[in-house]
Amino acid sequence: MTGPILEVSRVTKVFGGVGAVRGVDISIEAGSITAVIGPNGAGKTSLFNVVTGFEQPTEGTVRFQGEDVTGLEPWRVSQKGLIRTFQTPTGFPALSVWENLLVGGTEDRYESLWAALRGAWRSGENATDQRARGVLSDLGLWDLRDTLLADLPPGDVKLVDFARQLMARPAMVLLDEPASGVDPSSIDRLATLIRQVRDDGMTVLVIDHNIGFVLGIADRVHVMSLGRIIASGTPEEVVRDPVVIETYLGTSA
Amino acid sequence: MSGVLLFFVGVLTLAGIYAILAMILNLEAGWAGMWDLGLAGLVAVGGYVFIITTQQTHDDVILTPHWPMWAGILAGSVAGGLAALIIGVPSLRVRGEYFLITTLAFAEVIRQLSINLGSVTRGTVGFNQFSRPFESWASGSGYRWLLLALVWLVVVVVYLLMRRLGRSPYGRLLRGFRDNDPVARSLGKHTNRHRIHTFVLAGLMYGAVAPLYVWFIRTVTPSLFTSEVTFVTWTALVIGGIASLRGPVIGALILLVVTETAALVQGSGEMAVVLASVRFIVLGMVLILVMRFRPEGLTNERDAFAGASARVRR
Repeated sequence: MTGPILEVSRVTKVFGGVGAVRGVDISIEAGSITAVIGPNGAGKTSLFNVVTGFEQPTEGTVRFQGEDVTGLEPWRVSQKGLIRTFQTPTGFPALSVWENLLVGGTEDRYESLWAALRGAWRSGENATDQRARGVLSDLGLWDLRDTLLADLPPGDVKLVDFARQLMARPAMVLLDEPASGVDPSSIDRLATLIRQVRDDGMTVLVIDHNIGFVLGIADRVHVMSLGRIIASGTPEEVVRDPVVIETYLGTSA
Repeated sequence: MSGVLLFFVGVLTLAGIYAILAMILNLEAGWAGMWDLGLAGLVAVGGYVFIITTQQTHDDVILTPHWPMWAGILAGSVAGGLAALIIGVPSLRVRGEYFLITTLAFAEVIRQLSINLGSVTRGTVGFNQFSRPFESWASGSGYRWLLLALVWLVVVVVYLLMRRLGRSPYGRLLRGFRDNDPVARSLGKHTNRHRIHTFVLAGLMYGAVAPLYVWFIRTVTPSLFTSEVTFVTWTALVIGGIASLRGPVIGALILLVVTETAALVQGSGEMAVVLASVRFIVLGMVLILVMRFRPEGLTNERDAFAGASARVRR
């Protein structure tokens, strides 16, 4: 643990008078797995949107690696190493699993029109190929590499979504329900890979409805309800918190 | 007999020109997802800039720089690229339908300008006497063969260029963000910059190939650049297979051969009006049949780009 990599301060996001996120403060330790749980409509995805530049916050600031990234365009936030996934499994449907990963792993200078005209991209593909092969093997997707994303079941698309974003070498990855729709046998592989990237030094922030999955991998958990953080702690502390049991876990525990 | 043969030489030349336009449209619309309804306007810009800067015979216009042909082609290309930049930057910032409407309006503005700026464009009279390249090599019907060869040489060059672009990481990215812009941006891709680069390249190319069309028709008037050019190109692309590699060429060949041959049917004076509309009936029927039985077109994107991972199996 080397200090906070992401600091969210008093972030508020109001849609038409309704506060989706209300004064949230979160500080994420570098090299940790942090989970945000909470019922539907608690503001988890809105928080992700604000942090990654897809929505402008009404109030508050977001600092990443000590730098103010509040309100930057999504591609700029991403280039600073803060990369998210999306709740809906889509990716690039007309591309194969393989091509999806390569798009994630290809640097700007090999992807420009100019590089294509000159054919100057081939030198960069080799290293990307090797990494893509490794990530696909880890997720058990190697045999599906030539399948178009449009032809994959949603659960597999979710795994590809995670794999593709990993290829971009984020310093921190924000996973929006990575396990939803993923079949149980693959969830274990997903959890193993998330722990593995954490051990390699990546910071992970994850939202999911699968409480067992989230509590199994998280070092620290924040519970959101109605736009606010109502509890924070280790998974063990959070499941024992009476406020949390009442508002959220009560129905499933 | 030789008349029929020469007629088909003309048909194949026009089919080649539409194959080129459809390949450029495939780049911007098929791969990058920018639905350009104003390509006729970009071709018009290229065609007019070319003819104004190079023509030697009409001296009743303000601008007569008498440039050599290569400079005129270059000027037409640059003008097409500039026009694309000017309409692309504001309309690509907002997505989808704004681009569609802007390009449609742009083509109409260019057409009206070409009619009303008579002192530069000779209005509806247009330019009808100008020299064509390599005219000393062949004359009369021989030149029609020469133009056919020239056009199909350009078809091959443009095809090889498109294949190079389509199979590169750039082409892969275009076909990716076409369907999912947020995911591309979440990966740090400046998708709008790629769109603008692509549209400017399309503008440069439409401008550069416009002289082929001008040489084939042998006049430059506003009626050359109506929205019919845009819609025939779109139909060729859809029939051949949008976002594929060979589709634009196959679609243009089939469409132009079928519709132009329909126009060959001879008839009495009363039938002339009916026969004139036969082209459009045939065009519509071909489109309906392809959409019914091959909705992706005769070729498709899936097959054109299959097996991308082959190089890692070694």
